[in-house]
Amino acid sequence: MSSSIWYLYEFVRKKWLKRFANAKTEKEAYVPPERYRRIPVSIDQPDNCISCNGCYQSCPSEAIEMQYSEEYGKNLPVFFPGSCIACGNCVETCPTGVLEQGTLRKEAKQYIWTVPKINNYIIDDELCVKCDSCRRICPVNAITYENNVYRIKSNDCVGCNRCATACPVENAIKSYNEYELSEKINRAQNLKFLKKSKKIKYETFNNNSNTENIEGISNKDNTNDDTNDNNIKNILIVEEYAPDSIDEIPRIVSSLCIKCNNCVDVCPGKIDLNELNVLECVKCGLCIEVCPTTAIRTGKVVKKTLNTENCYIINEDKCIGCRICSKACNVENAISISSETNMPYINPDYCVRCGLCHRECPVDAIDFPETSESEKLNKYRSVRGNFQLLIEKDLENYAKNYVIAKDEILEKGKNELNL
Amino acid sequence: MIKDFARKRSINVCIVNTGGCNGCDIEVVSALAPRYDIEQYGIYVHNNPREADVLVVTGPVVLPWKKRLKEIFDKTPEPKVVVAVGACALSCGIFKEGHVYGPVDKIIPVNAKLPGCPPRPSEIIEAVVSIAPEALAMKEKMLKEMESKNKDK
Repeated sequence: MSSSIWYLYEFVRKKWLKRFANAKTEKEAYVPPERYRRIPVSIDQPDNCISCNGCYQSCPSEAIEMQYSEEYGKNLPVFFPGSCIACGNCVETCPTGVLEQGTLRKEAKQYIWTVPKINNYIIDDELCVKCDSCRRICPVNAITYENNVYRIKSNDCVGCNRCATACPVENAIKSYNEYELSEKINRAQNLKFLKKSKKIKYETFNNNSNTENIEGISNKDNTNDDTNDNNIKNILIVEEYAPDSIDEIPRIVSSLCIKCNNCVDVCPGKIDLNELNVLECVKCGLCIEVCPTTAIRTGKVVKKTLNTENCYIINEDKCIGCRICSKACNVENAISISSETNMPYINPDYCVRCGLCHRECPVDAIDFPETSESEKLNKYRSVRGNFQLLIEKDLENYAKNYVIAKDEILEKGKNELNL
Repeated sequence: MIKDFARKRSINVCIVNTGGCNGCDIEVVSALAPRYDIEQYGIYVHNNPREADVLVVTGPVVLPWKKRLKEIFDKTPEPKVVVAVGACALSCGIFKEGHVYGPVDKIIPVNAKLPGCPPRPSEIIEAVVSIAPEALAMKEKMLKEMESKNKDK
C-alpha cells in the first residue's frame, strides 16, 4: 500500500512530469568539465608578450604563426582554430603566462616538463668567451653560470634564439633541430648496417713496407699486433662512399655532447661516452660526420667575431693602467700590454667584441669606434711597443757587452801591470 | 513519399572517417550512447550515404580516400549538408606533413566546421542540430526553385 502511494507521489512530482513530457538530456551534460580546454588558445595580456616564439616552436600541429601586430609594435602569436588540437603545449611553454586555455595554466604550474620545441640550443664551451651576454638577454633565465661554464637548461629554454643573436662569437651557441638529428641518426644507422654486414673494409698500410689490404672487420684482429706500432695507419673504406680521413685522434667537447650514441655506432674502434674519451681510433673521421652537434672535433678552434664593423679600443688618456680588462678577457692574445706606456691595448684581429672589458673597466676608458680606427691605433701602439722592446733589448745587449768589456779591460790592465 | 515525410521530422547522418586517428569517431559514438543520446533529437545514424542528408566527416583525407569521398558525396541525395569534425578534417592537424591529400574542404564543399582534437560530443550534437535543419530547408528551397525554372524552360 505504502509503496503504491510512494509511486503515485513520485509520478505526480513536477520534475518527473517535466522530464517525461520533454525527454531531453539534462543541462549538466553540456557543462564543460573542469579539465576542459578551450579551443583555440587566447592571449590574455598582449602587452606582456615578449615575442619569444616559444609557443610557435612548441606547437605540434602548426596552429600558431607569429605575426607583426601594428597595435602593440611586436610579433604576437596568431592561432588557427582549425588546426589547434588543445594540447596546451603553448600555454605550458609560455614563460610570461600570457596565454590562456581553460584552467590549464592553474594545473600546469605544479609540473615540470621538457618543453617541446623546434630548435634546441647548446653552448660550445671551447668557443665561449664567458662574456655573460647570453645570460643577460635570456628572457626566461634559462642560462646558468656554474663552475666557470655557461649552460642552457633545456627544460626552461623556449628556443627564442635571442642568446644566439646576442653571442659575439660565431657558432658559439649552436642549434640543432629534430630534422637534422633524425638525418644524422639515419646516416649513422646506415653506416652501422654496413659495418655489421661487413661491407666496410680496412686498408692497413705500413710506412716501412708496402701496402697490404685486409678485408672485413673480423680480420682486423690479426693486425692488432701491428697497430701498436706508431708507423701503422688504418684507413677505412666504405663501398659507396669514402670519408675524409683525419690527421689526429678527435676529442669530445663535453658541453656539446648530447649522448646520441651515433659515434659509438659507427666507430670501428672504441668511444667511451661516459668519460667522453676516444679510446681506440683508426682516424677514419666517421664519428665527425655523424655527430649532429659537432661535439667531436680535431685541431684548434678559432674564435671568430660576428661584428666586424666596430671594435673596442682603450683610450690611453683615461686609462689608469689597472689591467683589469686584460685579466677579465677570456680570449687569447686579444689584449696585450704595451712595453712603452705599460698600458693594455686591444688587437682587433683577435678581439671578439664581447664587451666584457668595457663593462669591467672602472674608469670607463674603453671606447667602441669603427674597426679601421682601432686597427690603426692598435698598429701604432704595437709598433711603438715593439720599437721600445727593440731599444731595450739593444740597450741591454750594449750594457752587457760594456760590462764584459770593462771587466776584460780591467783584467788585462791588471795583468799588464802585474798588480 | 514516406521518406519525405520522415525527413521533415528527422535528420539522417552518415559518419565517414577519412583516415583519422579514431579520436573523433569515439566522441561521435559517445554521442550515440545514452548520456547524450542523439536519437532524442531525431538524429539517426546510418552507414549508407544514400539514406543520409548529413555527412559527418572526421579525419584528414588520405590518398586512397580522395576518390572515395567524392563518390560518397555524389551518392548522398540532395539536399545534403557536410559537417567536418575535428582539427584533422579542418586542416589535417598533426598529420599535416604525412601522406595526406588535404583537409576535407579541398575535395567537397563543407557547410560546418567544428574545431577540436577531438571536439566534445555535446559540441558535435549542437553543430548538427543547429545547422542541419535550416541548411537542409534552404537547400531544398533552392533546389525546388531550380527545378521550377528548369520546368519553365
